[in-house]
Amino acid sequence: MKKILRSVIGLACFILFLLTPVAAEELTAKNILQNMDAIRNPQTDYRVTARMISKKPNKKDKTAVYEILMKGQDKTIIKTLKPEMDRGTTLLMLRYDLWVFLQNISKPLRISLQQRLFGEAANGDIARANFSGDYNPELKETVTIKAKEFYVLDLIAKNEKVTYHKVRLWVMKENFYPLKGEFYAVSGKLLKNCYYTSYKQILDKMRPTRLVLDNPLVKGQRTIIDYADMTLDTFSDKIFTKNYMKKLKY
Amino acid sequence: MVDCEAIIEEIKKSLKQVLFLTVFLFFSVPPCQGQPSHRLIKVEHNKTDIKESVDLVLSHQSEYKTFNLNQPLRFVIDIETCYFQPVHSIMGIHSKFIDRIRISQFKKNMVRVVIDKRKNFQGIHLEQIAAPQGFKIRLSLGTKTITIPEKISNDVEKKSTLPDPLLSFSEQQPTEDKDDQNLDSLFSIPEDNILSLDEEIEEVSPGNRHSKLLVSGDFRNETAYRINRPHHFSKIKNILNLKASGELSNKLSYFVGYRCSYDAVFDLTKNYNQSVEDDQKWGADLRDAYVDLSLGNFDLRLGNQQIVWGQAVGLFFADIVNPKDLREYILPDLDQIRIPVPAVNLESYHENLYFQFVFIPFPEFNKFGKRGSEFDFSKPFYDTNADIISNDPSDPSRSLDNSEVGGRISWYKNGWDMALFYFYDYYNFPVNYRYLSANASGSLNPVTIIYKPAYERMHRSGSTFSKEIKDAIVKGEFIYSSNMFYESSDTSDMDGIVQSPSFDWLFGVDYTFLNALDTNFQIMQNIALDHESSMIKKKYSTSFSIWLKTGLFDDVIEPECFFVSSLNQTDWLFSPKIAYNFNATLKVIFGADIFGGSTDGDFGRFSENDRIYSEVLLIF
Repeated sequence: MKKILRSVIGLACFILFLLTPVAAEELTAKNILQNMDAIRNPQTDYRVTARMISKKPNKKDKTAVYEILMKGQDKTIIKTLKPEMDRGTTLLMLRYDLWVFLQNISKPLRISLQQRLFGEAANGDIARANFSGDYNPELKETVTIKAKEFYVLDLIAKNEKVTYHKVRLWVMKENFYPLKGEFYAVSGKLLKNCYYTSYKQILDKMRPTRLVLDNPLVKGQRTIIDYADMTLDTFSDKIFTKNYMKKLKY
Repeated sequence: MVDCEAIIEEIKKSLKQVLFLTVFLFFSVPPCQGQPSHRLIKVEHNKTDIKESVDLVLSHQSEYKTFNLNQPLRFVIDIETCYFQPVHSIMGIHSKFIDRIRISQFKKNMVRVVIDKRKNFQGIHLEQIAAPQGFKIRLSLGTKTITIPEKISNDVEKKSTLPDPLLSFSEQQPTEDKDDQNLDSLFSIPEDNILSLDEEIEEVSPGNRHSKLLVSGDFRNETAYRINRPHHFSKIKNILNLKASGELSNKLSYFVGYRCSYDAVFDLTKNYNQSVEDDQKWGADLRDAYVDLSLGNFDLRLGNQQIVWGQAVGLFFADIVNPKDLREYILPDLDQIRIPVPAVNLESYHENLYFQFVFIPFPEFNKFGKRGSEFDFSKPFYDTNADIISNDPSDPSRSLDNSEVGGRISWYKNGWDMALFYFYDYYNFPVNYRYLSANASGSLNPVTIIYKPAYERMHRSGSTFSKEIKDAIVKGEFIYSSNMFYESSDTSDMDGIVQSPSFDWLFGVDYTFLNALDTNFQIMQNIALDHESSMIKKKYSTSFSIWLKTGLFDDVIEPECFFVSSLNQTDWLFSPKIAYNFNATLKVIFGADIFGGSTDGDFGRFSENDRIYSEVLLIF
């Protein structure tokens, strides 16, 4: 009997062992966020052109065009192409540290994330491309909107340098498309509604090519960021250094 | 017998348990066990109003190959290291593009999916999509753009096709899978009628990223008016900056900048003498003009260039390499003040480390306004009962013996941006050697003071740092000079100069208040380490500066001001200005430069030169 019991226990353990990989296949909030990041941007070095249009009620639209170079998750260069007055102004972001190179002083200046550069958009809106590096996600619920199932994720900033303290994200269950984000301050105040729109086939994936950042407090006040000309590239590490900023070609 | 029955009973029980376990195992263990863990879970055929697709739902991302077969027309996709539980399955589709889909366990570790194509079949697009269950391989049929990624297939048809106008409404099936463009409707995202970004990209990137020649430039008019007596225009200067740049190859590029200027104040007014007019009426300077050679982690820049080491705002502190054009003191933009020098600049990048070697074969020096100009440095500090004879500084000969050499190491770690530097050069300010001689009796003044400025060699070493702390940028600069030259008040001193090593330091903080007001505060000090009582300058010379800038009306108006003051002489410079960004290419600035305080100070000496000014800047 004892032998048989041992066999039963052994077999049970074996079955549990076999079942374990199946359980591991379940998606965690972190997996969902990583998959969503892979939809937003290639997870390798690339360059993309971004046009930012700031809209305010009863005011003329303001347009700026940037070329963005991304290396890994923490190295970003933003070259200002338009307006012509600012052409040549370069922003370098290494993790959360920033430098700006201004043509009229010809030297890189260390600046803070709070310094005004892009009007309504925060520096992080343009320079940071991956949520999974900046936020800890939690899967709050799964909801159905117009027959589409969505993961609703709450993202809490990993540290105080991250642009927004909290982000609530709606990610399509079927394909990990991000559709909407709500960006909150530490106080809990809703700062921006962000919509990921105009999905197009870019570099083997359907990706959002437009971000609409709506100011919830002022109707009609929003920033629209369009992305185009996304190409994979390989960048030397030296390009992403303060000392190289003066050498970037325009 | 009893024992035998007991044994038989035990065997029966064991057999029952084995049977139970067998049944349990059969229903419990996933079908993939003992087979590859990657599974083809299901195949879905989707059809919407404008597109048709086939999704292969996989438990994991898998490698796959595709190819076409003829007679009959088939598209085949082989999924490697994969298991398909039903072993063989056929899906009748009979759509516009395909007849059926056949799935089979083609080899032990390979699943083959065969799509029987119809004559209308025009192309296929494959993509991998992350899915909740694992991954999908989506085969899109009859889409607007048909692209087969090179890495996926070598022989798949590469055709483009337009949406099929014959796809009638009757063929459309109601489905949840809407076109991606319609995703916007899920959250009622506002529509914006904005032109294509592609056109804008064409406009901002003329040529391409490796253009052989790009020309740009700016035109500016700078007009200044004295608000101290005598009131008059002190500058009506028109400046044309032309820049040409290009890449000759991946490793070689060039930049040439040229500046021409004409100051109409010398033709419209007669407030300055001929030597000032000769010096400042017309200008033509080769500015930055260099070639860049890039060899892996090494970069070499040869030619006229600006080499900037400092981090201070609004001031030159550790910015010691380039001489400065001080004919308008420190009032113009810093890059317009710096004089590019011909130099060999070798740089090497190694992860977070950076090395720089600088060699300047022939030294160049600061430019000062001529006697009688608006910012005349030759004005004696003190009223004396003496005849004054001032000579121009004598430049060292253009020989390699007088070359300048230096280097810098910088590194970035844990948010700290640090640098160490050393420079052996000629100090860019002339040392104002003074000689006294007694006048003949009966002369108006008893003595004659002769100034014979000369440039002197100096070893300078220093350090800079910056670090973000609690949203503030803290920065510092430190410079040790082996042999600084201080003017002496001791009339018995032979040349009127006392030497002493000196130490300069600067601490600065940048902070943005309320995401609206950018500020910078700096405090700096010069210490004469071997100070003597005869030195005119005190042992400690301390100054501070404040810079403020904000944007109003959506940054169309940008007020800015800079205030710097010496605590020793209590003199100061206050420079408020307002920039009006008229449009993307035109900017207008109105401002003032107000000097005040003791006339023996660096700023107070120009206290009669207060001015208001305007600048018009046009970019092209």
